[in-house]
Amino acid sequence: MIQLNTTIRRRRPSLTPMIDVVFLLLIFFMLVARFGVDKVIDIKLPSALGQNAKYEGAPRLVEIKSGNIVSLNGSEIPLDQLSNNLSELMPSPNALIILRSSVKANTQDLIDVLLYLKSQKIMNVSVLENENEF
Amino acid sequence: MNFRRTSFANEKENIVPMINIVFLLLIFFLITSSLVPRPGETIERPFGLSESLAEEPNYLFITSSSEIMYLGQTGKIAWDLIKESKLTTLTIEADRNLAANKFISLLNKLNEMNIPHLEMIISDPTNEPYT
Repeated sequence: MIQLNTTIRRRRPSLTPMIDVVFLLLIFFMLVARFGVDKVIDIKLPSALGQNAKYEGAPRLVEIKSGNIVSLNGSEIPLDQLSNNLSELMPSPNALIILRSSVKANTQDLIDVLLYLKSQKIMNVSVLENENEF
Repeated sequence: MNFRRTSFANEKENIVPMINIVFLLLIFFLITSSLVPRPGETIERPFGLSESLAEEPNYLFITSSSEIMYLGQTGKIAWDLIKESKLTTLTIEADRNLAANKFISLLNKLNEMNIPHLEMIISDPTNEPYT
């Protein structure tokens, strides 16, 4: 009888491919991960404020131009003077202001004006839509 | 004299601690990262200061070319998804170069859908140069 010397050596599975995959996954998640919580501003739409706000007093039409320039009732002024000019036209601090955007204004300009008005505690703002773009 | 032969040739470096650390990092990134599908076009967030934080955001992206994206869907499908989702909060990430009139129209359209709470993501100007 022939006996073959068959000593089976136990081979360890190679860890290298697994480590490669783990490194690739690690790099992927490191690149796509975004840390920190985003800062937001609340947008209160007319349904939340009450659509039937009554308009009183002189016209207060603010048109948003580009680059921190606004036009109040047709005359252009820098944004930081808007509060002073508006206060002369407002019968009460809660009086409604009509806001409209010019064609050249972008979202940054709109946000700048809204944040400025908020900082001046002018909260009752109505934004006009020129035409439905969607 | 009888010196011990000190050969380091056969000593392998132990890579187990490194693998442990790599696995820990992988698990950390798997848990903390959120894979929200974003539009291909980069969105430059508007600058502004605010203390409010987006806690459980449902992102609606709108690019400078007024393309919207919600849950990876664009156009009409995205609008239908927003309508069907009956959201309580929607977090808008709009590009700062988007025309203001387009943004106002977007808000009006969302207002028609009766979403109770809308918020907009802004970027702190102290962290990034104002261009």
